[in-house]
This record gives sequence, C-alpha cells and structure tokens, in this order.
Amino acid sequence: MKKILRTLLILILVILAIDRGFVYLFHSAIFSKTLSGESGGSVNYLLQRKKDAGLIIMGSSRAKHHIDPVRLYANAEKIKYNAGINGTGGLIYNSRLLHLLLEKNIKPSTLILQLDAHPYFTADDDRGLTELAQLYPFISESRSLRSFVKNEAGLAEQIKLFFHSYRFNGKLLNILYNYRKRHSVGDENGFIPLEGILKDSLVQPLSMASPMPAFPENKIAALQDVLTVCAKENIQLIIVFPPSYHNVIHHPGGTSALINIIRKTGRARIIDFSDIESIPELNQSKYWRDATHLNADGAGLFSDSLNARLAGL
Amino acid sequence: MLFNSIVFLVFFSIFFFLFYYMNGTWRKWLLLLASCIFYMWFIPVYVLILFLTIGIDYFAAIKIEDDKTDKAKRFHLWFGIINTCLVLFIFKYHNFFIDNFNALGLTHIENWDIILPIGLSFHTFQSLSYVVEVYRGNIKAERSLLTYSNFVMMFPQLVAGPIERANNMLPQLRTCDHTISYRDFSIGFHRFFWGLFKKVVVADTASVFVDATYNNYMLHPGSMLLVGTALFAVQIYCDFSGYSDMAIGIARMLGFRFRENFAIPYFSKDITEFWRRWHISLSSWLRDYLYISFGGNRYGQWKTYRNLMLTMLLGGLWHGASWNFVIWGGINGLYLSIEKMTNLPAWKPKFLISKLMRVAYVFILICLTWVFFRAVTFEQATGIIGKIFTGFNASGFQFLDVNVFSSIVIGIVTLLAFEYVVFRNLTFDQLFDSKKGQWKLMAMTIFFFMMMLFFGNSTGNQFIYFQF
Repeated sequence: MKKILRTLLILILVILAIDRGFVYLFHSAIFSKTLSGESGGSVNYLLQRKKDAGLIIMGSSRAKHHIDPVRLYANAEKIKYNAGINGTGGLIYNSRLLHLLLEKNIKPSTLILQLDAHPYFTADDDRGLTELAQLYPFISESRSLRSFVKNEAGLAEQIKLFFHSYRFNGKLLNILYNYRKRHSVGDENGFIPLEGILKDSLVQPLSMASPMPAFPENKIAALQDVLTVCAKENIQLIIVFPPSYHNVIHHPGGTSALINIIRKTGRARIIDFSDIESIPELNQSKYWRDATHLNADGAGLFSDSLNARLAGL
Repeated sequence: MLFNSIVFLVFFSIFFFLFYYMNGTWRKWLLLLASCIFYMWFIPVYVLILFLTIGIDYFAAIKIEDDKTDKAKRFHLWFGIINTCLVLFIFKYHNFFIDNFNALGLTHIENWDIILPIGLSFHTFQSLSYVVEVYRGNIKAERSLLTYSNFVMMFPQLVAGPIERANNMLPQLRTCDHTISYRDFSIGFHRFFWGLFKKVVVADTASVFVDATYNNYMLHPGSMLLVGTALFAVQIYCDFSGYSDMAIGIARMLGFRFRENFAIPYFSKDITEFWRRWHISLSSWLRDYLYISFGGNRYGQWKTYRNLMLTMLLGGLWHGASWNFVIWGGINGLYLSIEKMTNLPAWKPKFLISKLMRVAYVFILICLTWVFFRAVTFEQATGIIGKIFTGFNASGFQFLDVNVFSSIVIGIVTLLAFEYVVFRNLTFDQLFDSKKGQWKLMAMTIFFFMMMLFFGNSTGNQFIYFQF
C-alpha cells in the first residue's frame, strides 16, 4: 500500500506542477494577448480596449450577428460594443459577464440584452455549466464568478476547476489560432455580419412545446440578477427579442410569459420583435443566413429597426 | 454510478482501501455490498431483478449437477434458460413484440410503462453461459451463493461487460484472499486512464457532432451525415472499448483478471476478423452458445450461412428491441456469409497499399451498418443513407462548432497514434515490464489526464452500451 500511495502522490504532484506551470505561462504569454474569438478573446478585447464603452450589447449569436452597434445612432454613447457570443450566450453567461465587467470597473450607461423564449431559454444545459465555462479563463479575476461556481456549479465542477487547465477546456486550439491574429484585430465594435442566403427548402419549424414549459429556475434567477444589478448600478437595461424567419422559433405564449416575468421583477425596457410581422420586410429569405440568423443585409435592416425603437424610448 | 464521475472516484477510493486490508469472506461480502450500491445508484429496486436471476441460475446449476438422469438435467437446464430469458423478455422485449403484434392487428394490448434495468442483457448472458457450461460438464456448479452472486454482480463488469465466463471468474472469486500487488494496481490504474481518455476525449466530444447531425438529419447535407456516421463509428468504439478498458483496469487494481473485449478492431482486414476483435466477449458468446448450437459449419455450406445469419440477427436483437438492431445484425450476418462464400479472409494482403485498402473496405462496410445502429427509426436510417448517396453537397459541410471539431480531430489523432504505435505491439503488462516501463506508463497517464483537462467533454455522458 505504501508504494501505491507514494506513486499516486508523485503522480498528483507532477500533474499539479505541469498544470500550474503550463497555465501560468499560457495565460500570461498567450491568452492575455488574445483579443478575438469566442474562447475569451473577445472578452479580453472588451476588458482591455473598450473600458469606456457606454453601450454594451449582450446575448447569443442572435445578438452577435444581428445588432450592429454603429447603426444605433439613437444612443448618444460614443463607444459601443457587441459582446454577444455564439451558442452559449444565455442568461447565466451574461449575468456573470456583467459582474465581471463591473469588477473591472467597466460600467456602461446602457445594456442591450438579447433574449429568446424558445428554444434557447428553455434548453437544458446542465445547470448552465456550458454557459459558465465560457468565462472560466477569467475565474481568478472575478470573485463573483468564483462564488457563483462555489454555490451553483456543484462539487464535481469545483474539483475539475481545482486543475487550472480545466479553465481552458475545449478552448486551447481556438485561443492559439486567435493569438496568431492578435496584431490584426479589426473587429472594433464586436459585431460580426454573416454571409450567405438561406435556402427555403432547409427551413423547418422547430418543435414547440405547447403550453410553454416552465422556465428553468437558474435562468430566471440569472435574469433577476441582471435586472437587479442594472437597477442598482443605474444602467439602462433594454431587452430585445429578435425575430426568426417565418417565425420558426417564435412562441407567442412563451415570449409573453417571459415579458411578464421581466415586468414583475424589475425595471427594463422591452423591445419585442419576436414576431416577424413586427418587421414584415425581414420575412424574405434574402435577409437570412439560416432560419434563425440574419445575414449582413438583414442585420442592417434589423439594426435600423432597433435604432428606430430606441429613438422612441 | 458512472466510471467517468467524481462520485465513482470517491466510491472506489474508499472501496479499494477497505478491500486491500480485508481478506477471504469479508472481502466477498464487501465486494457484494459495493456492487449492490453501484447498481442501486441507478434504480434501487431493480437490484431485486438481479437477485432473482442469480437465484434461478444458482438453483438450476446445482440441480443440474446433482441430477442423476439426463432428462432431469435437461429439465433444469431449460428451467434456468427459460426463466432467465423470461426476465429479459418482460423488461426488454415485451413492448417490442406488443407493438409489432398490434401493428399486424393481431392484438390490441397497451405497452407496459417500464424502464429497462441497466445492463440487463449483459448479466443475463453471463448467467446463461454459466448454466450451460455446468450442463455441458465443463465447470462445477458453484455451491456458495455469495461467490456466485459476486460472479454475476461484480461491479466493474455489471452493467456493460465484458461478459465474463464462469471458468475464468469463479476460481478467482472463490478464495478472494489474493494479495494486491503493486504491479497489478499500477497496470490496472494506467489501463483505467486509457479507457477514460477514450471515453472523455474521443467518444464524448465526437458525440456532440454525431448528435447534432443525426438528431436533425433533414437539415444537414449528405457530406455532414457521412462525417457524422464515420464519427459515430469512432464514438461507439471509444465509448464501449473505453468502458471495457476501465472495467478491466478496475478489476486489475483489485487483483482480478478480466478477459480482453476489444483488439483494435478498425485495423481488421475483413469483416470476419473485425468480429473476432470487436466486443470479443459477446461475439465468442454468440459463437459458443448460438452458432455452434445451431450446428455451426457442420452441415454444409448453406446451413453454415443460415446459422451465421440467425446468430447475427439474434445478436442484433440482443442489442435492442428494435428492427433497426435486427437489420444491423442482418447486414453483418450477410457480410460474414459473403466473406465465407468468397473465402476473402484467406487472401492476405501483402503490400501496405493493399492492407490499407482492406482496412478501408472494412471501415466503410461497418459504417454502413452503424447508420442503422445509431438511427432511432428505420425511416431515419434510410433517410440518412439516401442523403449520403443523393444529397452529398460537399460545399454545404459545416464544422458546427470549430472548438469541438478540433478537439475531435486532436482526440482521434492521439487515439490512432497510441493504438498504432503502442498498443498494436505491446500490452499494458509488456509495457510495465519493459525498460523504465513504470515511468513510461506514468508519463502516458499524465498525458491522458492533461488531454482530458484541455480537450475532454466533461459533461458526464452515459455509456452507449448501458441501454443494452
């Protein structure tokens, strides 16, 4: 038994030494200099180069590729940034990102938060860990993130996070790739337009649960957190529901249920474009890359419509 | 309880410490208790089903041995077989047959609302082989219910095999007072991490792409479905052989030896060889208890083909109560029959290029069968095959998530490198015994661990074969 325990101890020590040493070098020499990409690079860009951003847009790919901050003239802020993120930009991610920004003394006067009632809002993603993991590279810099992981992520996740390498799980190659491009980052406002035109034959409505299933408690808590923090920090919060082609993911009942929750729990302006009929000209395939993502032309039209609504607020 | 979970790590650490310092009967009770806890982690009450099959076959085997006449022996053999299969039928196949009878208009019975007990097919087959071996006189009936219970329930192989044989396991379990050597522990430990690497880094990351393409196959071009199918071939291999590696590794850490279950099957040069290397414990079970019982190759060519087809059809049905699995078995049976007819396995390729072509031939044909294995319905399977051949659209290929796809590529390249360079030539025992072998194994485990931290999909996915 002694020999077994000794071997295990050596193994653990060697792993820890490699883990700590590698992550220290990787973080300081590569990650902190990576200023683009979805594995923390765009957040680095925001933290390092957009400290004075007065308007920040948060949300999923339907924020990242839909809202061009430059076209939002109605907002007087000079520095605007789109911090949407593909795939995992749900409420848990966004509430923690907001805390991270505030901890780094980045306080926008306006926050535009993109939301969808279905399916992203209801999608089960293992206690929001998939969303949370996007911010793990910043865990040592954010007390709020550490405390959230401690209280919400579960023991297994905490044990994994004991190894610092886990912060970069699934992100290593992406960071290395984006590190190479660090001197040519031209993505100043965070908006990335999509190319391509949707083929109508590929459009299929997603299956909608009717009535709408209950919203996950952790996501409602994250929404309430965003509402509370914005109210406390005096940040104007505008929540936007974008449309989908032929309403493929539009769930009227779900959207109104979510709007009711927002109205009950806090102060926020709501701009509801979830029904495509609210911007009927967008209901043409030439404006869409796929059924849920606008292409560059569509995003321009959508951003203009959003700007018009902002002007009316 | 999953091998790839933190709960299991805690469970096994406590268990190992106690097991190490106990001996004889105490060890046996501890092993049984741990196996019960392990199994009851899923659905506690189902442990009673396990005890029922244990009771049936324990009793049947003793009666077979004690009976004086062949007729009585045969009666107790069938008593064991029928009752054990009945449990399997009730939980696994009842709804399948009812659905089919209802569809034919023969009955109008409602389905039973039951969940399949995890790993039922595995321990059923293990119990059946024991009864048959006692009947054939190859082994003695086990008189200790505790030892026999451990043979069926031993937790490393309880839910997804390898399907162990009584002649291998019972002698190891009878005394249970062996010393756990550093060598056994070390080899088992490193084997476990090799399996964990396969599961977490390769299988679970590949599953992200496979699930995305298969679950919405109508939205994706044939090129993505083709890649999805090839990745499923990798996923199922790493998921299942990874589980087997972990099971074999855990058993070895405890001083037990399980049989090998996989032998680098995708390097096979014909389908016959593939089936000798894939899920060895099942394919040898099917050969010994079905194929040979049907007559094997003793009654001429056509009956040999018939027996092969029947064996593989039943092998398909063993995997799941669905026509897709039957078709999967049928296609494999057809491959084996054609190879037997053409005597392909006798043509050994001599040059590297011809060897590679034969490996590609096996991979492509096996991938075709995996479509039926992975698809949920027959329509989905035929839809996917149709799209691969008629709607390929290479320009429509998307990685979906570049991070995930690059992790998949890194995982597969690492897997191939280790399988081809290391494990094709050396076993873990040979590696351990080689010069500085312990350090080589330790370096490998550290590498696998770091790969898991950086590239693994750590969502704790279940193993595919748990459903069987």
